[in-house]
Amino acid sequence: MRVIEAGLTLVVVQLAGLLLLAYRDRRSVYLPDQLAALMTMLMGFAFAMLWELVAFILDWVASTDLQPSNMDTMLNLLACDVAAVLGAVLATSVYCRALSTKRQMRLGALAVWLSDGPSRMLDEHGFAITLTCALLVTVAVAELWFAGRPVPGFPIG
Amino acid sequence: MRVEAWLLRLGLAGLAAIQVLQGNTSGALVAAEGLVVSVLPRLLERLSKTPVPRSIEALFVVGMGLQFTSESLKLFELFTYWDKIVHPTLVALTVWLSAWLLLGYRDAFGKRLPIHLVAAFALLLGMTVGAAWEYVEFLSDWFGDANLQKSNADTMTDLIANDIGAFIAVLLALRLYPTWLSRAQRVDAGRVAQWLAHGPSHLLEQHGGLAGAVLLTVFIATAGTARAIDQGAPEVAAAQQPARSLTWRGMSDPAQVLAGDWLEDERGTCRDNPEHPKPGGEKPGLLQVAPVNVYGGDQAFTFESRVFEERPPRSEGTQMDGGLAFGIRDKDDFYLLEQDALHDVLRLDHFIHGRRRDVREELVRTHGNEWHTLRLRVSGSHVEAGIDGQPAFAVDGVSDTSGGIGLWAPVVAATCFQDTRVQVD
Repeated sequence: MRVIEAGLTLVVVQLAGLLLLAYRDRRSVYLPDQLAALMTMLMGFAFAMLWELVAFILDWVASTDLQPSNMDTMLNLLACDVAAVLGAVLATSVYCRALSTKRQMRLGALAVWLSDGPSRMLDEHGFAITLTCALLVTVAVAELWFAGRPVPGFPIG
Repeated sequence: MRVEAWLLRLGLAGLAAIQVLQGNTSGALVAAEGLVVSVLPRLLERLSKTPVPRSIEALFVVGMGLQFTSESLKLFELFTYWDKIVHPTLVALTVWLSAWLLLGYRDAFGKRLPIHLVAAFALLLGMTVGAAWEYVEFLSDWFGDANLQKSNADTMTDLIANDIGAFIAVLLALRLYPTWLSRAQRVDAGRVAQWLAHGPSHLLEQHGGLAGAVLLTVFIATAGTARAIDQGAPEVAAAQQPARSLTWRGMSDPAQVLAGDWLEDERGTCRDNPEHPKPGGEKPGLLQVAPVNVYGGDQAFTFESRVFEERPPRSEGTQMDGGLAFGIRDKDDFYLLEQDALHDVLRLDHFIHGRRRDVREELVRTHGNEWHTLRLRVSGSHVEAGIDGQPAFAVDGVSDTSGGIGLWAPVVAATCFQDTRVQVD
């Protein structure tokens, strides 16, 4: 399982890194290579953390058995974070050294197309999206708090 | 004169003085450390020859004041969820400051940097800082048995709280940037950001390969050391008798105190706390039952006891913990089925050279001042755990399970045991 998680993080981070660098060039955004690599790593770290958060919530709410112990969780995170660092370095190296300008531009077009939708949505409905996110987080936290505890008016289980 | 920042510093100095007067030197030292750290923005201003904006300094001093005051007064140990307030606040302040510095850099040097990208970068940075904090705790626990990560749920809820803090901080930072910072202050923030980034950026450009190699070496050395310190677990003491079924009635029956103070009272055999250490300074106690017998190996056994974890007075701490030990080789090397009423967790631990390695845990809600029956069954390398007649979990591949059996508790108030039995197949 740990290997799968780390492998998936590696792939996701490489894709994210390539798209970020291509977006930068296509949109002429100020983002030096080092900062782009760092941001790609941060994306990988966040991906790994969100994976573990989903596993944790499923364990508590749906009684799955995805996180047997704290050590297992921390080692999963560590493996994914190592993969994120490797993925970010690889993505930056591949983009800067191996991709032709034509391919960079084509990738940039894809990145712009992918980011345009969410970007426009954030511009137009930023407040609604923030409220939705806040609501989702509140529901998740309430689910965790009441897992195994009596909810007023409802039987346990 | 930045009154708010200096008032906060004065508060830290006052706290250090009060702690000295009360004879709490470690608390005074922590407050003094906080005072020193809180002066960093002044140092930064002097070194970079750029004014640090007033609100940035205030945010930094607030963050440091909160952390070091909490440490000095042991608030993390006195209030159960205090860390869920302080740590997200610190992550939020980190996010806030990094977003402002990045926006300031953009404005000061006319860089094209979309606000969405700044928000994403600051949010991701905050989430990573929160995760990095957990790594520091994990390593402190692994190497120093600091007991900072109380359970998997504690770690994960810390991460959730940190992420929520980061998210709120991004919104606030972007919203307040144009109103709380004047145009001149934004330029100053940008210059400070440039000064801070210049060193690392220059180092990476000049010696990127070397920096990577050093990091890799540190990582491999840490991982190697982490494995090495767990080697060499002691053997089962020679000339001990084979296992036998028994009902252990208390200290009048054969027992050996391996650690801590144990006594009999009307509640049973209790791990007592006569020294009343500072919150967070409690030491575990281990009482070996039937010390001449070796349990485990080829012979399966079932071990159970009723456990009562007394809720301590508010001013003394919050810990309520107790458990059944098996595979005891000495006071530092054994397995433990632990029920923690504070953190609602039933957990199988392996203590190696006094350092806890968690093997398996399950959410089990219990409270202080309640009796519960803990039960474990060990069959070779297979361990089953249960509480109050309900199975909780089973684990395979548990090595070195043979050894003594006993009762374990680190307490603030008292943890008591009754009806302790062991049944050998």
